[in-house]
Amino acid sequence: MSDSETKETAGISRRTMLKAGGATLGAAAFARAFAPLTEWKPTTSVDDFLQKHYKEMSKTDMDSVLRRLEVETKENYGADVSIEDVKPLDGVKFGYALNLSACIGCRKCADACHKENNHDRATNNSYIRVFEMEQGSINFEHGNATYDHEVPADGKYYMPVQCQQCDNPPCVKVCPVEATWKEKDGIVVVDYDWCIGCRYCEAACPYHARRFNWKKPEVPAEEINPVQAYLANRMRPQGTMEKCHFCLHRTRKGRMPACLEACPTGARVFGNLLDPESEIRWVLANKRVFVLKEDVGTVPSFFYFFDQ
Amino acid sequence: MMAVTLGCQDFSSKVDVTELSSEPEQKTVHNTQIVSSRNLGTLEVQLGDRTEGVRCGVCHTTTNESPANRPDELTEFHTEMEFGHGDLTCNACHNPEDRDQLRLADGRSLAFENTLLLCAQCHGPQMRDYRRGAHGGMKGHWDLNKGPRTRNHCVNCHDPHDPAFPKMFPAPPPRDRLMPKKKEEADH
Amino acid sequence: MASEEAKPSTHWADYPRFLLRSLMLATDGSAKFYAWMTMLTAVALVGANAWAHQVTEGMIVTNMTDHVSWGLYIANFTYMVGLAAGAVMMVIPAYVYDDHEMHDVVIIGELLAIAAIVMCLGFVVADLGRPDRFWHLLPFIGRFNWPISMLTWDVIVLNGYLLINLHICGYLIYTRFLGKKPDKRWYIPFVFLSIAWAISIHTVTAFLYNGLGGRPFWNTAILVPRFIASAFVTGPAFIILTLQIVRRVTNFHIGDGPIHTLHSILRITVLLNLFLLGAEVFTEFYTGGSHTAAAQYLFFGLHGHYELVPWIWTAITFNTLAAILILSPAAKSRLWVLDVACLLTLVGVWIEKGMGLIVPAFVPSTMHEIVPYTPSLVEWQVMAGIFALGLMVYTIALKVAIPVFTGDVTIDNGP
Repeated sequence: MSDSETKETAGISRRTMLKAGGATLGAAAFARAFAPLTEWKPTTSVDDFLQKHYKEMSKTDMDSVLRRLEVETKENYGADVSIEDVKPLDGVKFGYALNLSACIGCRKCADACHKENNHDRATNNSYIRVFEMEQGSINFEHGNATYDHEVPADGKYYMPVQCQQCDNPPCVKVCPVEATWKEKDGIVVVDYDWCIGCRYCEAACPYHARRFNWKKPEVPAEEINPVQAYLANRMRPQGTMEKCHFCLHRTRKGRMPACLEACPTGARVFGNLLDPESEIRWVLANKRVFVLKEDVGTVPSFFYFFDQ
Repeated sequence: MMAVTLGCQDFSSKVDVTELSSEPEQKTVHNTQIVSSRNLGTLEVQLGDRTEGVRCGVCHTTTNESPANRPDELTEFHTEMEFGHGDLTCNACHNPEDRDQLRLADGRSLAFENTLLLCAQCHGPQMRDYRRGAHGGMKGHWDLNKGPRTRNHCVNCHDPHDPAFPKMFPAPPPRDRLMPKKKEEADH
Repeated sequence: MASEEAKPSTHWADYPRFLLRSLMLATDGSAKFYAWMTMLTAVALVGANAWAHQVTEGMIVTNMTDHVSWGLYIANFTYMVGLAAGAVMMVIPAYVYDDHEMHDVVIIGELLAIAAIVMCLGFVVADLGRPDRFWHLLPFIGRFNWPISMLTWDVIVLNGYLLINLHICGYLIYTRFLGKKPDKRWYIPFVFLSIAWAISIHTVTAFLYNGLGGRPFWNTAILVPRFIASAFVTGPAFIILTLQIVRRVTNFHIGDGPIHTLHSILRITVLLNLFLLGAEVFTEFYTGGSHTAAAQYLFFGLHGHYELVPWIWTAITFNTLAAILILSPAAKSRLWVLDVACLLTLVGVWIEKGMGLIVPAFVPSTMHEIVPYTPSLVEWQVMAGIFALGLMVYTIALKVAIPVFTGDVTIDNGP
């Protein structure tokens, strides 16, 4: 009896030893498989990881976050930048109108956006996509965003499309973590430090207005626009969503958006929808205005119009 | 409204547009300035190895022969210029009495800097849109309480002798990953 | 299980013993078992490594783009939700219709639900650009956009379904281990809850897509019944194959009864699935217009792009073939015919609900641009890794449950 028991114990222990060996080997193999993660530096500190949602941060919290982000930009990009948290103005709701009779499709707006907002250079990313459209049709099936010939081409017209800053934004509705929301001046913003990168908003947007950071954006230090804001053009982290924010780092200080200043034909009109004397209000009252995909019920703050 | 006098200053072609506005702004702190990119009222002339802006009157007062009044009558001078402004004759805009001035349809003389009024004689809707900020573009501030704004002069974008906006090559297209060949090539 | 503590007994001592025995059962086995688990581990390692690269280098290593922003991961997620929901097709006969033979083997379906949900969660995590911020999605701790975002509903129903099934399975296996008769009050209410919940997980997942007005290919109410119908195809089909394997490699008694019952269910659901697909196809093509572009791209190709055409016709062929086999008398007399049919429909629905459902919603894009999508090697590797993980979970769960259910392992006969 005692003999068999010993045998049994020995058997179990041999087996247990083997199992333990196997488990160790397995664990080591998994450690090896996950090894690339050690080179991943999404965050530099616990503060980074535990950073609160934009709306939950106090002024002091925000200040320390901004300073940290400036240091990180210096470390990662070698550029000295200043990052502010620019708040919406009282009594202002932004609106944008674009004159399709005037637009010649030169993409200067898209290019200005690319530079102003520190977009990844390799992909020539921009929040604006200009579509070359067939005269007599508003069907984007006949559109083309990658044209590369002298403009305006015969029989074509041009339709720049960017975030429409909808009053009923589907992207905001679907976000599971409230990383994107509409501010009181009408701008739909993203907290790049809160977004989990599920890309549900990108699926929900009917205007292809959202962009995902498939990798860390690369911009040479000397080309970085150093005037930055938290919810605007600061360097975006890999794996998060971004979008047009009506250049809020400029417009919330009374300035024009970069795309408007770049437009050589004056096709773009920007201003305060709540001011009855504003240029944008005059356009809405006097031109033949329409919004893109009105049928999907997004209620855009971006308008298109024709001169004649 | 059309009768407002343009506050014209020196030859730097800066015009205060606040006077242009139909309703004077009360709360405006900052001005809107119309900045001309062209050296108005002069012709670029090659003198040896340098280029000099020569005022129209310099030549037009020293020659006695009666100048051409239509582009197709030009034989010796200005032949390098492109003309494409309808059937307008030279004197439709230029003042034959004083070549350093322009002339409105009613015969009044007009300084070169004030071409906005001259253009507006025919292009009323554009002038209306321009005044309301819906034509011609701008730089600076949407909120004039916060800072100034600059506007283009008509001639910044339109060559007065050939005013159609020129064709140009666009900025490079987006280089999206995995984007197939351009539609133009694939489709046709 | 929290529920056990309420009863006056020696659970504080029995439950750790149960866990220990489970661990031993999970790690002890034949050479075949070790070979199988080693193979799964190897595949899981490849997936883990691919995922680590994806997290480090960015999702640029996938072939997803701003135009096609969801791909293979979300396709598989959708499919796995269906598999999890489909497992309920054993629960309904067993508990609602008191099918005793089914009742004896229903644990196999309930465990499948657990494994499938584990894979669902795996695919969701794999699809995140910032998995390190996962905590933002936790209710109360992060900012949970409930009830507005459908994704938060999905988080609730999927995790809820996982917990319900963990409770049911854990409770039943544990009481069997103790040699006691399970107390109905402790599991029957949960079983009925799980039936309703199974429908909810697939309904909410369909809502995730069909609530998007900007994507007409998804924006149709028929998506919900289509999801349910296809779930009721894949669930029974997968379980039939599992039953066939289990009764060959273990001494667990599984008669032909449950298989015939599942076969009867399949006879209706394969047809229902094809019928709903047909209704969808008719509506798309008879109406026409630019909203048909996605369906056009999927079934016939669009503007010189035919990437998905072979996929969807393979799916339709497989599903039709499976329907014919399932309805033929041969499937009743010869079970291998049924096995083949199940395999065919598993692949068919995987394509139809995966690549055939997710990708066309993005091609053409909302602005009618065509950027084709074929998954990258990394995506295939991660997918294989998650499949391996799911199969490991399922194998181990069955490995523990079956000896307990056959009575080979009880509290009294072990060390």
